[in-house]
Amino acid sequence: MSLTLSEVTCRYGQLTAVDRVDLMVRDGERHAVIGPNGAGKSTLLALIAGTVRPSTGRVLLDGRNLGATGPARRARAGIARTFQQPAVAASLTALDNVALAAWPRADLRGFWRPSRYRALRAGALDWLDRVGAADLADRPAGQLSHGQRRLVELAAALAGRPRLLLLDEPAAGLTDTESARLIAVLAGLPAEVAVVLVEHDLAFVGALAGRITVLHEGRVLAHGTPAAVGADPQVRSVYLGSREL
Amino acid sequence: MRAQLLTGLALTALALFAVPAVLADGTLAMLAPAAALGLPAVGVSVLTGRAGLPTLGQGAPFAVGAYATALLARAGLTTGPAQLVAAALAGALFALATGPVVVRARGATALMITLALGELVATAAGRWTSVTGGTDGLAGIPPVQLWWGGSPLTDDTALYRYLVVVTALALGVTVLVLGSPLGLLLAGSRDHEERMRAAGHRVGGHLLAAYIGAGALAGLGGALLVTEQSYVSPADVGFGTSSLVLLAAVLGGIGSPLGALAGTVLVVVVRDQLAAHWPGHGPLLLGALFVAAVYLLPDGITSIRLRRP
Repeated sequence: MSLTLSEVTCRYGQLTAVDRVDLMVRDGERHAVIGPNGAGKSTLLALIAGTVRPSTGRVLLDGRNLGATGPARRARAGIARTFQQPAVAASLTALDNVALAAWPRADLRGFWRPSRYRALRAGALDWLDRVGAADLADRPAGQLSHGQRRLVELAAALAGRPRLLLLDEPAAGLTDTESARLIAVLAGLPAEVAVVLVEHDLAFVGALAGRITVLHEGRVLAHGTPAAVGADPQVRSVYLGSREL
Repeated sequence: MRAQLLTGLALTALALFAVPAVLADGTLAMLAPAAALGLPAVGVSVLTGRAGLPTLGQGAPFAVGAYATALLARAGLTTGPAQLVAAALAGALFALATGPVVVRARGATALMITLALGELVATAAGRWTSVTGGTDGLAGIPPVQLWWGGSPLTDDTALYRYLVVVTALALGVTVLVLGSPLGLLLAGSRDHEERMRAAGHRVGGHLLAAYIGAGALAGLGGALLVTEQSYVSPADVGFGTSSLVLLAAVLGGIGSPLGALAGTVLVVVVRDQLAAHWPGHGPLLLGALFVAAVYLLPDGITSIRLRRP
């Protein structure tokens, strides 16, 4: 699936969070969005997910303008996301969290048939296993640690078999082991799944991203391959400093 | 859930056979109001506890169900099942009509909107004299028949058993629905609405379904009220009723349908029995009960998880 943002601007009152941003994510592309705090990265994800509407400009999915389409319909069209604060239904088990997330895009739907929900749960357990959280399946999600919730949330996002996956700082608050596991899971995604990743952890970005867009004060400062972006003197001065991509 | 259903069955059998054996007919009649108020309380419990949509207006679908039953009975439809279906449908239709406004709101706003709806309906019941009999209410409602062509239920024990069976069936259906994946969906929407939307769930639609279900339960309760007292007036369906069923749901541990029913029995006994020994102080006793519940049964209160605004 290809995603195109064309001249997208988002204002909150006086503040312009995202300023005439163009972005193109092709089928299967692993695209990282980096930049200093307040650069508009999370707003950019919200604009793609549909929780925030652009003030001007268009968000196109496979060439079709998403316009005022809400987040639930976009999700059913194949856009999945994780949140900066890992979002789980606290009173439900990790497994139910994943199974419920898989439901809207599952082939086996149906409210009333317990057997169908059991099938959904079996698939959900598989996804929990892939992110390394199978042992958490029966724990209420509210009791899990920050890192564990993030894994459960990721399993939930993947269980919907998305075509475009939006990740908002997935590595934040993870231990090194969890982070390495996450990289392995994301690297193992089907090739046609496109990923837009907002992340501060440059090692994480370097391990996954094929293309990078740098945002600064709501505008695109640079975009291109990691090598090109890493060598850009402007990017070095506002964001990277002495760090390497 | 299986254990819950078995407990429910056992309690139903107990209520059907053990209670009438111990209590005199007159005492049974005093328990009857708990049947009418129990189902709206179950609906409040589901909406507030499971779906996270607090409501102070279940008196409205209760009123719609009660007046629908009263009008049908006066027009000659005295068969129980037909009355119940009509009352449940009337409550559900009322919820369908008002739901789009209610399910957009959360937290205190939802409380205020449902409160206003409840007051509007109670006021309409008082003013629309040609249909509702105004503040005089509708009297002279013939007794219910169990089935087409059956004999009218006039005996206190038989009437009591009718109320128990209807309540138990409605409660059983509620527990089954809550135990299905739909119940999980409601809990998920209560816990984290944005997460559920991000997965593609139509959260508003699920809340509307829950609200309609609660409306149908309240409508059924309205039918039972009319059956039990052969009379209905605006005083039966106003803010007092809405707050009483919320109190009952809170006492029962919000989110637990069976608890809501138990809470209703407690509230009705306090209101009608204890207060009888201390005339005019019923509301004071209920208030004291509420305060005591808040302090002594914190689980009943703290498990209210209001949605994020």
